[in-house]
Amino acid sequence: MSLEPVDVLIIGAGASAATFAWSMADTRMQILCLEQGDWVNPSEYPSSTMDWESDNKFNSNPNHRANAADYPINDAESPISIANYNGVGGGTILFAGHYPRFHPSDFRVKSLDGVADDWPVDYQLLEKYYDENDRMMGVSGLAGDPAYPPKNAVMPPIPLGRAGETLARGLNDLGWHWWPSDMAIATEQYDGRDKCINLGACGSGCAQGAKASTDITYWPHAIRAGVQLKTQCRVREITVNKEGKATGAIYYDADGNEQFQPAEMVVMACNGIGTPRILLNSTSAQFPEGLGNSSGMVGKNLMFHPYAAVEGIFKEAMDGAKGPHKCVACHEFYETNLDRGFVRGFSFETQRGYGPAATAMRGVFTGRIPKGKGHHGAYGKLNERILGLVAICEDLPELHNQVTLDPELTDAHGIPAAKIQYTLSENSQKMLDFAVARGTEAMEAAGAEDIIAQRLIGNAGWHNMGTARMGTDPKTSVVNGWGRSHDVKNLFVIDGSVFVTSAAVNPTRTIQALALYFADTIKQKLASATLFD
Amino acid sequence: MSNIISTDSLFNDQQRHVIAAIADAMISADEAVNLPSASDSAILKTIMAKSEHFADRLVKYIEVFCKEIDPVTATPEALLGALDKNPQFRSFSKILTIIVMQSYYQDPRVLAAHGLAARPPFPLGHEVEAGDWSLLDPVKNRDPIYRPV
Repeated sequence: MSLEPVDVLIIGAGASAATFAWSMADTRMQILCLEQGDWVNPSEYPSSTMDWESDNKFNSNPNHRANAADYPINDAESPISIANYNGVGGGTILFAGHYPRFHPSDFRVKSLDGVADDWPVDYQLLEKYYDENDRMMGVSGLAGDPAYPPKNAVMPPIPLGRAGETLARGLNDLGWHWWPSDMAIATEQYDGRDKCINLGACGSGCAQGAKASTDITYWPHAIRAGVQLKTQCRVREITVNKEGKATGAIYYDADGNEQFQPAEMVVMACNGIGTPRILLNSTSAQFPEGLGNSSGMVGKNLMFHPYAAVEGIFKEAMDGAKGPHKCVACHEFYETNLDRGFVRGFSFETQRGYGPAATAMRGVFTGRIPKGKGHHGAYGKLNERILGLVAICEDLPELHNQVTLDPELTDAHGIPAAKIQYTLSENSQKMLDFAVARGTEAMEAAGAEDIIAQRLIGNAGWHNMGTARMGTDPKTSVVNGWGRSHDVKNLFVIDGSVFVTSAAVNPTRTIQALALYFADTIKQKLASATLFD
Repeated sequence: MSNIISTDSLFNDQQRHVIAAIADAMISADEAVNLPSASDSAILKTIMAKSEHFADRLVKYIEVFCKEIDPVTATPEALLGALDKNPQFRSFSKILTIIVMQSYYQDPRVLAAHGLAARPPFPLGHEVEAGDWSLLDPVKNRDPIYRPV
């Protein structure tokens, strides 16, 4: 059944979609977004129950969560499993809100370090879009960070707490950089949202509304401006006509009925796993290898951020699970220094502490809390005494790291599941080892009595990038410098799939700045009637 | 939260007793510090509700486990030894350990005994000290550390 055509059809309602839709709304075009999940009711977030640490409905692993909106992901051939959330707001529903920008050097990896490629955009071009996004989302932080060109914060930083102070003293003793984290968390009342009250449950949704998920930031503004958002609509494929122009999307509605939504432009916003999955499933005579895939790059160059963790156990009480998880960032080892034995670098972000159940599990599974005799005393020594650092290591693009369609596994609608094939590069392995050594040094300097080091966090595939990369060469990239498919002039990709390299920081702020830039460029080209040239 | 009523439980009484025995072996009561056993009725109710999600697997594990040891009459040390030292029970041990820890450490009495807020985080939240921002002074005095492009 075919519906009334729209001008702009956006697939997915996460970070990039919300940002893009809001910006495009001032064109007064008919804009429709299809999202396979639904709106989250904040009263259902676990932080209002005693079970807040273990509510599976908000587990970040879609295979464990298995909500109706989730599709299976075969990650058996990856040491890192995927973390995501399928619903309005996407990954911002569950993210910790740690919200750094890229460094200027992150856009010039080939020119500076001789590896990977340069981006077709740079920090200078994106700066005003970063600023605009910061205002829309509400970013707390502190100006003056020597790790960045000058930038302002919209609101004051989140509190250091005992955890941040303890770590800061250690980092000062080492002479290393640190700065209060830029966070997408309101520290004052902002845009109708209340300020953070340190629930400490950021990773399972913010019942307070202080964390800036896009369901409560961009989407209300976009919908008021006339954008339509339909939920529980799972897109199966994007269709093309015989001229190779995208014509719309086939999807299953909330009742499971197949529908066809015609559109003048189709915009993919399902991020690094979801976008290539749909494009690869959209085969036709013109695109037998998947829509927009003449380069063969759709699904290829999958980048995660390999995460290492180093935790210190302290004699004095820290913050436990009180407060946002991240409060201090360290970029001492961000920029390339070949003396370290690897190229590119990593950033550290704090893991402020753990809740009561997480503390128990951490202690039991690392042998520090016995089961049986001695349990209670050992628990008391860890209770609110763990403070951690995680290292976000830059991942380089490699063709063999990829997303494909699983040959056997499907979702509830029979759409092939995504299959992940990924191996850690030698560069990543060396970087992880170095990060663990530096993290251990930092914890010792901070006064930790005992240290737990984890070289690779397996359930840490939060950042999925590179699988529909930007570039100027249609042979080696999927979209151009403003997100338009090289092959299909009315098809766009606006999410983390377009990343050329991964940087060593969380991607969401850059995803959103790019989405604003893409929208701006599209609007300019619409005005000059050159959008589809 | 499971909405299965007790008569609809996916576990029979024997299986429930086995889980209770293992829970008690993992975390026993310490009355001196007001800490209940993990087999306390309120905590066990939570354990059984969480176990429903893994019922198919746990029922099979319990059947095999009971051939190795009688969980109801064995000492806690013997029980934990059989659970944790035999590789064939690795998944069984991991699942039950997670469920017991999650269930135990959400009980208000346990939280209170450990000096923790015996309530959900929302809506009251918590106080976190702002911290000493003068700690930033050495960093503020640094030259830019990002590479110019």
